[in-house]
Amino acid sequence: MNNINTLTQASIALKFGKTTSVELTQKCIQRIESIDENIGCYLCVDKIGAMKQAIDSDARRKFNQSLGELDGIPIGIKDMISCKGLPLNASSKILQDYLASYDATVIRNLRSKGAVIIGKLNQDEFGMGSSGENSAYKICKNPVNLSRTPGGSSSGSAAAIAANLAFGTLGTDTGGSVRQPAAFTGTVGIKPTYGRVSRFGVIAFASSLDQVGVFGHKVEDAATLLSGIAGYDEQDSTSIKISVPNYNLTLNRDIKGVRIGIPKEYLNKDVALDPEVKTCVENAISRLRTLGAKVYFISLPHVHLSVAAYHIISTAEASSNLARYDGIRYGPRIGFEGGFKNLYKETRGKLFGAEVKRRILLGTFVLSASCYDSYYIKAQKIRSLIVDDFRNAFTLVDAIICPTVPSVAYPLGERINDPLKMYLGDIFTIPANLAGLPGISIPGGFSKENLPIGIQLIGRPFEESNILNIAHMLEKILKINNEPVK
Amino acid sequence: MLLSAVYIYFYCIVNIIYDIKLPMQISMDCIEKIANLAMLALSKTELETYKKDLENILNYVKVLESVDTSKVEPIRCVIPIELNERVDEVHEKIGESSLRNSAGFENNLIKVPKII
Repeated sequence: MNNINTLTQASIALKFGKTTSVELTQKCIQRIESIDENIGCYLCVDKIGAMKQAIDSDARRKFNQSLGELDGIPIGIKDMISCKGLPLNASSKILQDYLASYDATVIRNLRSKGAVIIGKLNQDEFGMGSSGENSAYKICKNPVNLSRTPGGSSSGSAAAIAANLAFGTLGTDTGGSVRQPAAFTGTVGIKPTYGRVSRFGVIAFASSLDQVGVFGHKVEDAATLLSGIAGYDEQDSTSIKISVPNYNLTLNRDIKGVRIGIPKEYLNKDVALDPEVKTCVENAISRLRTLGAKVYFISLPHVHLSVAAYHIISTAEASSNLARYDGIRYGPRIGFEGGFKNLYKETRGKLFGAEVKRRILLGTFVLSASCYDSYYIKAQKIRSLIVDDFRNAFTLVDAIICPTVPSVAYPLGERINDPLKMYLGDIFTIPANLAGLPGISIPGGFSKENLPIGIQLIGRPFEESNILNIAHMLEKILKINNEPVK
Repeated sequence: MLLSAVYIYFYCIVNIIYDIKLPMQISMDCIEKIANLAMLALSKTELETYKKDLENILNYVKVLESVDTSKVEPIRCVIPIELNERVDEVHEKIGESSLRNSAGFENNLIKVPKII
């Protein structure tokens, strides 16, 4: 039991009767109760519900009716995702006391495969932030080093894997919110292609960019969990009818001759890349060469415009999506006696956090009549150019490799009062969101201060299996020890 | 708001003709109007902070002006597919359990401020 740390190990142990779902779930709950007070991963733990699901899973297994690899595995869920009967707060005061009245499609998919939903995970409010500090409830810390940020916005999802407080977790990724915290915590995080996973029941931040992603210790864990949630859903009009492979079956393929591109723009002197991160990526590239991959320099001529275009498009969409939080239908109310307008303004002004208000203001500004063309339409045109850049690059290579983040996890508090500096940390993750492409971050090594460094692989649309396979082969040859924190 | 619109217009003209980079500035009047449009009650201190933050961010996004996009179409969908439309049928009624999330839930209705 003590040797079971990863989702795959747990799945195998369950299959061969070495453990039970009740035992695994109890282990997670006990660890949460003993150490999570110092980390801040969970906003709510469904002890009774999780134990009931675990008992049901063990009963199924006893009668040879197991629902597969995820049956009985404790999974944590980011607070953006609706789980019937559990709080759904998006780490915001404006959704305080909100109880989800239905399951998101990804949760329905997990339940149909027997997964045990253990609780809701901390995050930056409404997915806005890159450090886990924008939660209205509590700051989430990096289990690798408690003085550092775990990244964000899926801070709790990444930290829970690093601290072994769940065997797999779900997050959401609008500009890097799965891959960046995965890099900072030494875990594996994948954002699938836009449309691969249903967003029904997921709180909207920026609808043309949002995707649900998964976390695990190892690539094979992420592959299993992604297979469990992906697929067409008629309740999400942007979900795409393309069959989902079993991603585990396509791991371990030879990557001899696979063409991998390095965007030369990322090596420009004006990109503030930590030398330790650069060395780590160069090491990964040389290891890929030893496996027979062919590595080329490629050009993404407009990629340096990604952060600027992203912050116009995402805030514009957010200002519209968050208009629904009006004090009428959800959460607490402030200013009821002053009439409708007063109720709206007071509730939103008092209950949204600082970063959310900043983004709503920017979004409202860029959508205002005098700015619409010069900002919003301009950004959408730049996005077209970025999509074309990737399309052209993928005629030459099968995958792109680059750092996940320009630095290692920075100290908590370092960037919270400098929003632009915080935004620029997403320079390597945002392009995949703008182009709707799948991207994965895996641990590539550690800095001198023993902080994890992430390597990112980006693939063609719907070729998650390709980047998972390359990531798996790289993981095997790098032999990074990302054992959970004791 | 009007002052800001005039400033942005002037800023674009100067930028195009003389290739001079003026710092982006927003008036307090403009930030108040934006907050009003966004239905956010903000204190004076907050407005001043956000004014500075927005100016910093808008100065940063000026980098987009370096590219001529006059012949580029704005993107419509990142993955070129038809949007799916489901049959317009009720599948699951969530009714009362959803209404209960309002702080104004009473007798299966939501209480709102007086309108008339």
